[in-house]
Amino acid sequence: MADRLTENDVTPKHIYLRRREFMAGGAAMLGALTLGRDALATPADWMQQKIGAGFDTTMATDERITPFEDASTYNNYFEFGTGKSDPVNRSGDFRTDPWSVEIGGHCRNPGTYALEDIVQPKDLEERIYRLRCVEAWSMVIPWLGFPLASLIERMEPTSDAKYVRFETLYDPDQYPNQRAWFPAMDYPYVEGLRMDEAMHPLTLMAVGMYGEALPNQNGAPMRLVVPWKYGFKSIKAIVKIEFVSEQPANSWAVMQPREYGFYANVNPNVDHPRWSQATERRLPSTGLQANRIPTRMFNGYEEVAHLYEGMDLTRHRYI
Amino acid sequence: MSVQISLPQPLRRPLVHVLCALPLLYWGWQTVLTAQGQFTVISTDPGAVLADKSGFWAINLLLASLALTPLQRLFRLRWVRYRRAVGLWAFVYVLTHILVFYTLILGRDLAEFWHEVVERPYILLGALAALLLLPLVLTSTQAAMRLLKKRWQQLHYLVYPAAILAVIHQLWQVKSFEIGAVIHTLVLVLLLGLRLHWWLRSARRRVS
Ligand code: HEM
Repeated sequence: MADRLTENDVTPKHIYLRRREFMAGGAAMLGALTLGRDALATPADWMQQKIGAGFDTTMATDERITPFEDASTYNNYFEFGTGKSDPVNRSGDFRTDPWSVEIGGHCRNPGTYALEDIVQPKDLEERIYRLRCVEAWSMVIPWLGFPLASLIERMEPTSDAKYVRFETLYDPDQYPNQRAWFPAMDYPYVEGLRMDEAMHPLTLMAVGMYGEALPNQNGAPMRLVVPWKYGFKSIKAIVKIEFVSEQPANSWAVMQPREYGFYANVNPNVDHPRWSQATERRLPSTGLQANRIPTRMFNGYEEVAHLYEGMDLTRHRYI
Repeated sequence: MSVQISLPQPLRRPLVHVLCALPLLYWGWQTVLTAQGQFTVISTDPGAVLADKSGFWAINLLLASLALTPLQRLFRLRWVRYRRAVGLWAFVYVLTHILVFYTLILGRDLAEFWHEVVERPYILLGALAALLLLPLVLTSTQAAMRLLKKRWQQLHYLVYPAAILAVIHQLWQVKSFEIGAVIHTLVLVLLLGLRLHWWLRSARRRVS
């Protein structure tokens, strides 16, 4: 892990400034997109206060951070639509407050927790992670959150808890694609991690990015971030967390078992059946120039390699 | 009372060209803005977005060109005279599509281009479709038509396998249920079905 640095060292002020500019300057555009947005659709006051109270940056990078305007307008979030700009265009009214998360399965403290009770007791930290999408593009994003491990410890899982299963909100009133004639996939979206993956210190529960609460299109109010796995593992808008003893289903592997697996570790040596994973387009493009860079094993987070010792990661059942 | 919207004859052909050019102009304009450093809908990942848009319009126009004869037979819409224009515009989008893939996605890496073509079956199908369309474009002139006589018609039947390959090329790469790919497939099946139906009927008539 990188050295502990202060916020000012690694999150250049211009990032945040640029964001404000975008919010103000792009207000006309955003206004048109989010017409009818009401007070409910903004992050909870307590969340904004908590984030406003400050945080440390615990993982930095010398790579160029993807501008907020790219990270918040180019998203895969099929509940809002399959187009990359559907999430930003259609999530304006999404309500993230009040929000509760049902936590259950093999643990001593199951229950339905208000998001407030999950997030408030945690120390938020900023971590700048590479995000590698299975579609062969990547970004560098400063997330704001807390280690999933700290939440799991609080729930006191029993020895039967071998995996953690996550579920996204199911609410066709709010998610256009969930009420579409032909939804793009089976909902609710589900994902899972092996217990040791979930407990790994890199695994983050994010509630913010770029120093502010998560935008709706990025998975507000709370999403997973597993930086060494393809982006689809990092499930958004989580409403359910369950400790289970069998490997849980995950949506993409269910839909296309020949193309996506449970582990989904970033791996330049195993191509997607339809495209190469050896390189990636680091977004945003510089003008029209595709920034093609080599993809790294585990997305460059080699410290997780020991989790997979003895597993042949080129074998389909471990992809 | 029916409202007759009728455009003066001399304006019709230009209108067809303008309509076919509109997507190219719009996305071209976004490309210019992006190249100048402005933040646009394509800025983040121009290669992927433009490859999608150009492919989408290539197949739309290709299917449209195939639909003109059935539209004439079924609804007396006399648009067949614009078929060549629409077909040529489809090819403009095909070329743009290939160019975008080569420059913006692969970064002008020719070795990588060939590698992708042979390695990825869906791209191979796209390339075959483009190859089948090429001779049609080259023989689209009146002179070629006169020169080839009966052969011309036979040659231009290649548009059917090209359309089939292009639709499979699109279907093959969908990541989840995508309505566009399904609509293109249904339209193609409908168009081919109509042709087959008419062909069988005339064949039967010829026999009897
Ligand atoms: C050498 C020839 C070709 C190559 C290398 C090629 C390559 C590609 C690639 C890489 C994509 C995926 C873009 C993405 O989503 O990232 C694509 C999509 C597509 N291509 Fe092609 N293609 C070729 C020929 C054609 C032809 C001839 C047609 C139709 C006439 C066509 C129609 C399409 C369509 C409809 C899509 C899907 C667009 C969408 O997602 O809406 N392609 N092609």
